[in-house]
Amino acid sequence: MDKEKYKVRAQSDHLTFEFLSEGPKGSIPKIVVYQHMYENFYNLAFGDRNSSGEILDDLITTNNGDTDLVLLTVASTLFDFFEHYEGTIVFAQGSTHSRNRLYRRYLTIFLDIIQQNFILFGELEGEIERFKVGKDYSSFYIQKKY
Amino acid sequence: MKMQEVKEIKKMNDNITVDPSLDSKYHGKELFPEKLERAKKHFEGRDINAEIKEALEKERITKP
Repeated sequence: MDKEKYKVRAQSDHLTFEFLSEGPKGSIPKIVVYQHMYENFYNLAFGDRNSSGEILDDLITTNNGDTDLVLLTVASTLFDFFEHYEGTIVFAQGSTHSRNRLYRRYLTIFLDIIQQNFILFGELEGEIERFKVGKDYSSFYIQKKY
Repeated sequence: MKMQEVKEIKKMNDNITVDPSLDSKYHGKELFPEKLERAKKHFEGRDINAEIKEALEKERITKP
């Protein structure tokens, strides 16, 4: 996880983040938002902003050849978020099954580092459990270890 | 140990800087409303805090 990451600009409240994905398709603005749901829960949402400034969700596939870097950068916002919002839990769910599979793959790759800092849960068929490798989770919950 | 953890956190988000121009850019704008709606629906009628607590408790009991 100490690999290269994109430079990120954050809003003063550390809930909205912007960065540029650089690749063969050019510079694509990405937005990461932590949306307050209720009590201590925040929803992690991210997607692209097109040339006319319109916000698009993660249903679109950018194919800018930098998925690793983009997801590592999104992960870095998680560290920043938790630094400012102690005691919260972040909920994350991809727009599609394949998007969830992608997230799961990356969570698995970085599981050791993630587990040093966070408690990660997966949800499968309505049941929440501590994240286990190889399970087809439909959503995720992330809590900071203190 | 505590110091080490703090250092680690700094390293993970050292690529992030606050840009106050984003405050006015996004002021009053609701980003990804459909995602928020979907997430809220997922939580409807559930006590996720309790479910998470239960998951941790289950793990504690089953741990050898």
